[in-house]
Amino acid sequence: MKQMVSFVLNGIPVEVAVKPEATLLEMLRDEIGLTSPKCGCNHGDCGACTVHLDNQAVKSCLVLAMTVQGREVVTLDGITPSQGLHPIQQAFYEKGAPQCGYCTPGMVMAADAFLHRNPHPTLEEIKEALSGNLCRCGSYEKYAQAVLAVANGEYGPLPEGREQDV
Amino acid sequence: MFNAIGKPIPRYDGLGHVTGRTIYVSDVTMPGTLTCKVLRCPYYRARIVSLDVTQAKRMPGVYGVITREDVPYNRFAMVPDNHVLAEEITRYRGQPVAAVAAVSKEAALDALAKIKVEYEELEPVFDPEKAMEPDAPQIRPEGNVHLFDGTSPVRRVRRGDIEKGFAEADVIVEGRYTTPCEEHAPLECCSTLAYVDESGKLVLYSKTQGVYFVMGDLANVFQLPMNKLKFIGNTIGGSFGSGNSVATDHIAGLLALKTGKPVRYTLTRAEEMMFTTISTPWIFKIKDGVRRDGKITARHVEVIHDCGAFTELGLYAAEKNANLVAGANLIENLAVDTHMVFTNKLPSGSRRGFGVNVGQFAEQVQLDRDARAVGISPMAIRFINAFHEDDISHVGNRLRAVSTIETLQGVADLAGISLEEQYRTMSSKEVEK
Amino acid sequence: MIRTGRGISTIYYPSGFNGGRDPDLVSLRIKPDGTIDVSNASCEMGQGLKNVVVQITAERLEIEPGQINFDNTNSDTAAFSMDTAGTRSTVIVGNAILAAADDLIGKLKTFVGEKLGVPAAEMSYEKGRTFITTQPEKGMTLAEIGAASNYGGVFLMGTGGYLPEPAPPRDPETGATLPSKIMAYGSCVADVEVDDETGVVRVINLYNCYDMGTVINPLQAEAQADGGNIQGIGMALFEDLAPRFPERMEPYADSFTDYIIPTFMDMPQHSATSFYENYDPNGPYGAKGCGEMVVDTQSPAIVNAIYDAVGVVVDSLPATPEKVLRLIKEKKSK
Repeated sequence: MKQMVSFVLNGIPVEVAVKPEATLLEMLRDEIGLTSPKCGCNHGDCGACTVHLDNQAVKSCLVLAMTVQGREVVTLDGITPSQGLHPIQQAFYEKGAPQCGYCTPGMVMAADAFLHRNPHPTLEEIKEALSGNLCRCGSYEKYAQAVLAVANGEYGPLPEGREQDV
Repeated sequence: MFNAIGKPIPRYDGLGHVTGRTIYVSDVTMPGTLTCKVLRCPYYRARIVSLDVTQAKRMPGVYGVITREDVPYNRFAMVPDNHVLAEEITRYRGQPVAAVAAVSKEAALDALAKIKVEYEELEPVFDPEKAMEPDAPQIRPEGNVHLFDGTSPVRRVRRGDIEKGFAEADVIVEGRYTTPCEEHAPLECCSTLAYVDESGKLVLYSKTQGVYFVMGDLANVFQLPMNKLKFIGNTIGGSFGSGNSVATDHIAGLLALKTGKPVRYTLTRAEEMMFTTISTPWIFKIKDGVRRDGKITARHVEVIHDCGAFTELGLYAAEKNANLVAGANLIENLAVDTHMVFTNKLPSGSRRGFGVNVGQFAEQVQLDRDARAVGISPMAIRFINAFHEDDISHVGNRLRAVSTIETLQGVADLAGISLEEQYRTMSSKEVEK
Repeated sequence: MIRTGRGISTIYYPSGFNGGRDPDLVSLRIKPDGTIDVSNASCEMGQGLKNVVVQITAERLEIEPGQINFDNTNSDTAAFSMDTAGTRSTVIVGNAILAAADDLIGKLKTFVGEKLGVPAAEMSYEKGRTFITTQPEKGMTLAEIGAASNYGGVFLMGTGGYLPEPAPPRDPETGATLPSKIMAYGSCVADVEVDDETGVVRVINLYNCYDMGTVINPLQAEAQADGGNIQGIGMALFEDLAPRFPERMEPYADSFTDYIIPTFMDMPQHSATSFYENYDPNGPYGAKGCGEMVVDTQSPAIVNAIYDAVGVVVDSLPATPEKVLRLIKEKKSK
């Protein structure tokens, strides 16, 4: 029996009927039709489904949909500007980081949450922060360098409107 | 010199990738799509004594249940010996036995639980060397050992006079090397959305990496002409060779044809790991004759390719390996003996590096052993034996644009290795007399 | 104690199917505004096919890459491709593009020549413009041709194919055949750290020099090389579905928890790749294929580096801590 869950999705209040056992990933993809969070393992191993829940990066396959009641969910769609690209997207694009691209939405979301938490990281900190996001094409080098370039301000400031984690 | 070539132009699909707007096969939905789930054999080798799907067909929400009886032509793959749905004898754990299309995942799984199968478990064989023994369980009617050209249990590569070569050697060096079962693990799992369009054409949104590579095969399974079969896709979340083997297209297509409704068949990560083709194990036994100056005077390579349960792409891998396993070295006296053996594991698929990287692992580790045996450096032995321009490869074709020496020099430069004068100035274009 | 070691490897890899016989076809069509549609059914799985197609087409037609559209989306409209595998697409699709582009240019010359009353043989094509060789000011741009042909009811399509030379049947005695006329080459130096108390191996530096002929797109070539390093590290150190094989098949991995693929933390601390662009006359603009060649050098170089560090040969992949430690102990007990 489906139940209603109300939350803010990419800045817009929504109300969705879901099965109680559904995950946030299943709700986003199957009920709402947002396909930017990808399902790579449904096990919390790969990070392709990473979204922001109350400004924290979470693996949406590990979050029960019912638990986002009253909370704020942001997918890649929510940080993609209507014109142009977010600095992390721009860096990934220009540096040629994505190959097959399947891990990319999760990678952008993980990197964005991390840079808001730690705006001036070292390369080692970037690697550690993103190590929960698998890329089978093995584009780690270009992803890490792109995040470092964003941190160094080469792609402009990160958009405001995100609270620092405590 | 060039206008467009050599330019670091961002990916054609890069904007889609970074914004999440790229649509992969597993993102596509259609109204009224049924979910497919597959019943798999739990044993490595078994006889199906009885199979009864009567109850499953009566389950709520079930639109179609298929077994081998429902498959127009049950054989498929590059060498079409694999079974779409299991026949009497199963040969690997997880071989598909029956498939269900139902209104939901839950309804499909409930229906699978109602399929009655009685198995007689048979003794399996996993180790390719054991499978070659005469008293091993015979897992194929044709025997466990593949016959090359239909006649020979060995694929031979021969060059020069290997006995003479070994006689010229100062040292004989032997090594045995193995590689394991490896998975492609693309991040997007294998997936198909199949439906029949307004003209009666079967349309497959497919994660294949070769639409025409599998089209003839699948047209045969469905017994449809190619103009009644359409593939959509060609933008996929990684493949690394996995997409050369059919894992979902055939079953999804059959169920769409049977039910007349769209059918989605997506593997879970566990299914992708456990039940799709893999890079199966290899064994390499290398015996080299090496002269004190580092020249390899003779090499014998014995290869055993564990092909798994069906041929799939294993024969291709074995043939490719045989051509290249002696490495980027000029070996004047060479013998390669390749065997391909069937065992009760997943079939040998194509995996990036395809029979070559496994062989070159063995060959390059052996080369270091050779160098140590005669007391020269790993760099030196590679320069000494390197192919040059216009050398004849181990299987008889002339090599052009050869760069073993130049890439060694290039990597030495990157790594800050100062090469000895004779190697620093060596060229693929000039051969020392 | 942490011990360091350095290892080397050198490999080669063919472009195209083993033994040839793997053709591809390409069609080039001109839209009313003069932009170009390229059609071929090869798959984009991350390797960068689409840029290779666009850049080779742009090079041959001497136009901007932005003027080209690539359609591979479905088998009803995309031209035949044998497969997207075997390190073949750059070379075989690339050569098919060259054939199709030559065919299109010939048709453009005929089309414009007829409009201007001049035989095709007296026409030239340069930078998207088709003109009378002796009177370069008299001619038509692609945009003009696109409008004139489409709205004039004339279908201008360049078609072409490429078939790598088929190998002779393999000689049953010598094994002689023709695997591929195009071979790419690569050499690697790996530096590792081995903890001789735990058996854990870390890749510190990975250097590769690759000859993939002319590099079509350096961003993508680097990405392929980086990815090859990561997959090569996986093959060298981690990846094994059935670690107790051949004794038994269980346990068998069913998740990324059990089947370990490299993460950001397994990247080499430093990696560098250089390209030795040895022009191959059989490849389009001298290019060779690279997709599978870049995943070959790492595992032998790493295993050779482990020997350099701790004096044991890991002759069975992957070089797990368990295996490395066992070999170190066996060596000490001798």
